[in-house]
Amino acid sequence: MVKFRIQILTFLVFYIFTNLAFSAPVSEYKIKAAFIYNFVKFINFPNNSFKEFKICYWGDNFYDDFKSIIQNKTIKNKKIQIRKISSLSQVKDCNIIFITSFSKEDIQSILKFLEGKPILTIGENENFLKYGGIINFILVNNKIRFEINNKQARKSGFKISSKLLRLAKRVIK
Amino acid sequence: MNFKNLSIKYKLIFFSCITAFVALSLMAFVFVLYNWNDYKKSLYEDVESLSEIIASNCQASLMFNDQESASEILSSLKFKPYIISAVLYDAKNKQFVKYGSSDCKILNTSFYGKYLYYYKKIYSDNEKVGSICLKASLSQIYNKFYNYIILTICVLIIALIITTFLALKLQKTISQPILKIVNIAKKVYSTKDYSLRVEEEPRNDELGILIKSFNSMLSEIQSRDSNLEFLIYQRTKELEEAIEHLKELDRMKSEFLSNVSHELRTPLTSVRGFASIIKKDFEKKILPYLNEIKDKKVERTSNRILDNLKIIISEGKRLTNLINDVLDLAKIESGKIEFKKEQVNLEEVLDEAAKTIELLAKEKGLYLKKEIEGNDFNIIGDRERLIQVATNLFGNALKFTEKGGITYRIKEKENEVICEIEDTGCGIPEDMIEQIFEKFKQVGDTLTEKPQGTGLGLPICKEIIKNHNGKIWAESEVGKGSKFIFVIPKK
Repeated sequence: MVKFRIQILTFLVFYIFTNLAFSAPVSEYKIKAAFIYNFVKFINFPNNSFKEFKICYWGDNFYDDFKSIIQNKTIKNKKIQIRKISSLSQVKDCNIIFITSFSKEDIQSILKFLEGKPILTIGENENFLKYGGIINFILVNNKIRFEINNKQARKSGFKISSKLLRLAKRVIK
Repeated sequence: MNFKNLSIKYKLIFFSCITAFVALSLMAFVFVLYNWNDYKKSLYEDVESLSEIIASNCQASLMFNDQESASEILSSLKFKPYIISAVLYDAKNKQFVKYGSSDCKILNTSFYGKYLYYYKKIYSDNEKVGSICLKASLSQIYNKFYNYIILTICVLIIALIITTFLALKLQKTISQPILKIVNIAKKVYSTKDYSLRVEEEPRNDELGILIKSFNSMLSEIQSRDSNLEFLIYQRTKELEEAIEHLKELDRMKSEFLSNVSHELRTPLTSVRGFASIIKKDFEKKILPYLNEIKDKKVERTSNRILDNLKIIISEGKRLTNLINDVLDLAKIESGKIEFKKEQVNLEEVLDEAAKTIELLAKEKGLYLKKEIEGNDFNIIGDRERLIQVATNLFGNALKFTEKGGITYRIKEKENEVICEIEDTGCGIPEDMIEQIFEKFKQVGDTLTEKPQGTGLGLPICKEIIKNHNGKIWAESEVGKGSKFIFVIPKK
C-alpha cells in the first residue's frame, strides 16, 4: 500500500514536472536533448558491455537542459551520465559526443580523432556530416530536424534503425 | 379447413416441408449468427493489425515530433476504405495527426453504433509516446452480412422448393397405396362388389402387407357371399317351386271341387226328385189306404216312412245347398266368376234381403227394425251378389235369435257405405269371432246341435265383399247378440 502511494506520488511529481517543462517555451537544447535521448533507442551500439551510458558534450553548456529531460530515466537499462569534455584525451569513455557549434577546424580535428571509434558523434554544423559526423541537427521550417551519415555510422559499428533513417531529412548511404 | 381432415398426401408433404423448414432455418440462423461474429472478428483483427503497424511506424514520428511523416503514414490508410478516420495522439493525449474527416475520441476499444473504435497506446521502452484511435465503418460487413442473409434466404427458399418437390414425389410411395385402398374400400362399400381388388405392389413393408391382407379379406367375404347368394338362390327357387306347386294344388282343388260338385249335383237332383215323387205318391196314393187299415203298427210304420222321406228330402236339399255353396266359393276363389260393375243402392239391397226373412221373423215373434244415416248409399258392384251377402247375414241373424229381434242400419261415411245387421241372439265367443269367416266353421257343436247351415255362408260373403274392395267383420257378446258389419267404398 505504501509502495503504491509512493508510486502515485512519484508519478504525480513526474507528470507535473514534465508538464511544466513542456508548457514553458521549450528551448532549442531541450529539444535536442530529447532527440538525443530518443536516438539511442533506435541505434544499436557496437560494444554493449559498458555499465553506464556516457553522454558527453563539447562546447556550450548543455548539462542542465539535458538533465531536465533525462532525470532518472535509463537507456536500455543503463544509467545515463552526462559529462562535459574539452580535450580529446577525455573522449575515450564517451558513448555519445554532442559537439555544439564550433569552428570548422575543431570539428574536423575531433572527428578525425574519433573516426573508427565506437562513439556516436552528433553535431549541429551544416558540414558536420561531410567532416565525418554521424548525426547532425538542422532546422527545417523552424523545426528541429536531423540528418544521418549512415556510411560513417556503419564504419564505426553502429546500426541505425530504418525508422530513424526514415525520419532523417537526409541520409548519406 | 381442419388439418385432421386433410388428405394423408398433403399431411406427408406438410410434415416434410415443416421439418425441412425448421432444420434449414435453424441451420441458416446458426450460420448467419456465426458469420456475423466471424465478420466482426475478422474486421476487429484487421483493424488490430492495422493499428499495430501504424503504431509501430508512427512511434518514431511521435518521438521526434515529426507530424509530416506521421500524416504520410496515416494517409496510407486510404487503401483501407473501411477506415473512416484515424487520429494519432501524442504522449499528453493532444491530437498529433489526424486522418479522415470525423473524430475518434473514444479512449477504449468498442463497437459503437455503426463503427468500431480501436484505441491503442504506443510505447517506447515502457514509456508512452502516444496513442492511436482508428474508426472503422461496419457498413462493409453490414453489406456483406445482408448479402449473406439474402443468399441464405434464397438457399432456404430453393431448398424448400426442392423439398416440396421431393416430398411431392416421395410421399407417393406411402400415400398412393393408402389412397388406393381407400378408393377400393369406398367402391366396395357403395357398389357391394366384392370382386374388386387393390392392385398389389411388390413390397413387403406394412403397406404391402396391408394391401395383401385387405385383398385376402375381400376374397374371403366374396367367397362367403357367393356361398350365401347361392344358398339364397337355391332356397328361393325351392320356395318358388313350392309356391307354384301349392298354387297348382289349390287350383286343382278348386277345379276338383267345382267338377265334383257339379257331378254330385246331377245324381243328387235325381235322388231328390225321385224322393219327392215317392213322398208325393206315398202321401196321396198310399197313405190314405194305409190309414184306412187302422192298424196301429202300419200307422206307425207309415208315419216313420213319411218322416224318413222328409229327412231324405231335407237332407238332400241341404246337400244341394252345400254343393252350391262349395261350387260358389270354388268359383269365386278360382276367379271363375266375373262380378258385374253396376250402380247399386245398398239400402235397396238390404231392404230386399230383409223381405226374405220378414215373414219368418214375424212367425218367430221377432221384430225387424231399419235405421238410416245419410242419403247416398250408391256404390259400384254386383247387385245379386250383394243381396246374397245380405240375405246370408239376415239368415244367420234369424237362425240364432230366439227372442228380441233384428236391426239393420245403413250409414254413409265419407267415401264408404257401412251396413250393420244386429241381432239379440246367442252371440259368438270371442275366440271364435275370427274363425267364423273360415270355411266349414260354425259356432256350436255341429254334432249335438241340429246343423242348420253349410258353414260356407260367411266365407262366401267374405269373398264377395273382398271382391268389392270392402271389409266384413263381426262384433259380438255371448248371450247378448252379434253385429255383422260390412263396409264398401263408394268408388
